[in-house]
Amino acid sequence: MPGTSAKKLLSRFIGKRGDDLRRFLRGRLLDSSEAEDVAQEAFLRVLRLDNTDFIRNPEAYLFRIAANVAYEYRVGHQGARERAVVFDEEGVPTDDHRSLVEDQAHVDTLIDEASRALAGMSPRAKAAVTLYWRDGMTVKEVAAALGVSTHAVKKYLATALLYCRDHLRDHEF
Amino acid sequence: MTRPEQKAGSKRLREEAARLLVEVRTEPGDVSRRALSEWLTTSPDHVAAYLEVARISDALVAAAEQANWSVDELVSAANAESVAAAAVPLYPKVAQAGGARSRELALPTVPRTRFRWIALAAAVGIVVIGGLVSWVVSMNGDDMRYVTAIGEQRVFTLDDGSTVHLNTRSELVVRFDQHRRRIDLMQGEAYFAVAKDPERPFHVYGGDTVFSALGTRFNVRLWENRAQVTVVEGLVAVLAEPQEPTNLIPANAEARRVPVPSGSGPVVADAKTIQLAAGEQASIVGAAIEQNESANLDQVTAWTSRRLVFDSEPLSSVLEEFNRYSHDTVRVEDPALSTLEISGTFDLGDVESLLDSLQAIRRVEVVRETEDTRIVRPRT
Repeated sequence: MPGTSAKKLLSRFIGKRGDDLRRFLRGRLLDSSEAEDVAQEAFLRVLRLDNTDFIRNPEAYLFRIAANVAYEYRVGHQGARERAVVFDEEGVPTDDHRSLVEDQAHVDTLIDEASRALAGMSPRAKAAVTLYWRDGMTVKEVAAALGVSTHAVKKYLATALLYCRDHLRDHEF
Repeated sequence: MTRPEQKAGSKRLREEAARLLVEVRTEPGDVSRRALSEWLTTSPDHVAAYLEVARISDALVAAAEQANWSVDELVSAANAESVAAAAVPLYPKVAQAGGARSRELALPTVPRTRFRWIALAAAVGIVVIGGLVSWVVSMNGDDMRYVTAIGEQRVFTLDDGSTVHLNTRSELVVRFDQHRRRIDLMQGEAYFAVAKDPERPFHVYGGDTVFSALGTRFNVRLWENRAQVTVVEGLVAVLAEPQEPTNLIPANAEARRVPVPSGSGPVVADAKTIQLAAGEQASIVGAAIEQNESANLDQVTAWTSRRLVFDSEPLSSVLEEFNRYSHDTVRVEDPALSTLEISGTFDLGDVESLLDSLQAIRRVEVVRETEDTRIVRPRT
């Protein structure tokens, strides 16, 4: 099941140009001042975009811009030395081999920790997350399977994110 | 790793980010994308919250992909949870009506979709499309009038791509033509993110003052006899007497900008026109302009993310600030208590948390005087 749904899931998640963005999303969490600077600059660049373009796909634009800003930030601040992932203008990571290996290890532990968070969720949240993201069910199908409203399913999905976030923070991700 | 004061509002922002993320992924379409776009272009804090939640979602999705539970296992475990605990009342009134009608909760109905969007918009604190009709109270030719009630805030995008946040109890009129973009702030407070258009200057009339901008971000607040402008980014010209400005800032203004005299403390300018750069603030009473070179930008713009930030301010003015957003006012009369200095970040709709902490640290009590007025006074 996970194998068959992976592609569907990926496209559902970040669209066709997912790989580089996914690497950005999976890079090490920035510390809070870095994250703030990156968000600030990404915000300003978003405002400079043509608004109608941005509305067409806000997530894709935002992630791409943030990936580039994060890259520039690191080049500017520490010559891109020890950090895990760096990006070229297209948002593609440069081929710093050591960084990528280190990054993969980081991603693995991150996902392990997220798995522990998922296992610790309420049965309904756990089911909503897994049926929707892994099995590719629609919100309606998940709602029918669990006997709840579609609104409730979305609420479980959102709450699960926040729960997972707190869990990761508690474990220093 | 985190600075506590800066994180005060971030839990709420993360909740909004998570809700929007789920909406935009589960209901891809104009409505959810527009809601997300508007939210993201509201504040850098929103962008930060969204990026954080998006990273978490990536990890959680990957975790779900690897999960081994079967569908049956998941469903039966979920169904074993008590029904009462799982019920998310969509229609609170129906839910309260009890068993006879509770069946309706499980039936998907047409209004549900609409309700969800109203709920989402309310939670996000903005009115998403469709609300446009209610913003525009009246239109006269090409003029558009925008009004907010007490406690209400609105964000809208103008024809030229500029965005305006309108704070509680405010009113403004937009008049754009080929030659210029004119906005009259009749009362209250507004934050402008101005789209660049060298052909058409952007003029905000507030009280007897004109603020002229070219691609910039600034906040204007009106009191009965005073106007205050704070520049967050770019350059704003302030004209303390109303006249018809043509183009106060030329396109190459950055290069020709007259340096503002340096020195500590406010600068009182004689000139009727001054230019303000990012971080600068001016208060205008009549033709007098008082300039502050290092405004607290976070404090001035906090309202756009529904926060109030105070830095050693007397309780009396702190309460006034809260009162702007509420029909229920809280006053303080005792002189010693009035001058008590307050610092902190609050949700602008939550005066109760301030009152609670006051009662916890001082011998004070909060007494209801009239139906919509309460008084904070020393406990006797």
